[in-house]
Amino acid sequence: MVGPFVPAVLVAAFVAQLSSGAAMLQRVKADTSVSVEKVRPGEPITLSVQVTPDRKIRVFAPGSKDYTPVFIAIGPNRDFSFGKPKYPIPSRESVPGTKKKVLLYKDKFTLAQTITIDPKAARGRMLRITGTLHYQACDDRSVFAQSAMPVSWTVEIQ
Amino acid sequence: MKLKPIVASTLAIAVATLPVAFASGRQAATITLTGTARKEAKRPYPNYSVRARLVADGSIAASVPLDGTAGFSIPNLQPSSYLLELINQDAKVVCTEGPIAFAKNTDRISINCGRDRSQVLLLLAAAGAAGITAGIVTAGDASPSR
Repeated sequence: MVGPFVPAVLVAAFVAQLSSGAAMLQRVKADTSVSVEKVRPGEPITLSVQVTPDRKIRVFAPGSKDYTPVFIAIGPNRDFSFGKPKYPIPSRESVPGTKKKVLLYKDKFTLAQTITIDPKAARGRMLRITGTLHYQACDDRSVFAQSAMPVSWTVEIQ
Repeated sequence: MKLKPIVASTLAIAVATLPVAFASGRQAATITLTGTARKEAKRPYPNYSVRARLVADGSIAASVPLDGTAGFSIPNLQPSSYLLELINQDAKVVCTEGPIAFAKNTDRISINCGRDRSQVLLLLAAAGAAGITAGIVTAGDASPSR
């Protein structure tokens, strides 16, 4: 015979296990935005992520050989197609452990990804687009392991 | 509310296995590599750094400076094969360790350029013995000509 509290205890234990996963240490902050909040099927919109590195943190940019450059990964979706991503111009700087200059973002920067809503997409609903911001960062002493954080945007298809 | 033991057992198993199912859909756990480069680095140790190079694509996964006791700790790495490189203050690779496949947190890594001191001593001893033998042989060969 089992008391009424046992299932509750088991569920609580389950929730505790789920929440015990160590969160990945983040060294940047990311704010998402969309060019327009309401869009019609067939129209393009731009998804943006403004990345703000923490103090003394720099982020590897595309073209930085040997390191993982920052990028946004968005899974395929029938409701839209992808355009080309846009990256700001990085600066070339020294990195700990090498004398070569590497392409880096040291200040706040914005990544932009254009998508075009499928002409046959159903109207009158909210479309939530989820993705992941991948990046590798360094400071003046260390190069940190690659990190990732979830990002999302919501637009209304009208 | 009363539950039969079998129902309770089933519930317990389900609850226990659910996190595994959830975890499989999440990002794999990261690992931390900890060790020392005392055998190869010279003081001041913080002038040196240890770099983990991903064998799969040659990219630099991370690099950290040595601490005051020549120790290092590289956190948040994905389980994979890494080549550990010891870098001096001139950004030159002093020596490498590996590649080693790391599947879980690993400590007591000792960067010693792949040289085991006992093996080196054994090699020196063997070389010394061979040299003596060669000397004897040479002396033997040389005597008749004199």
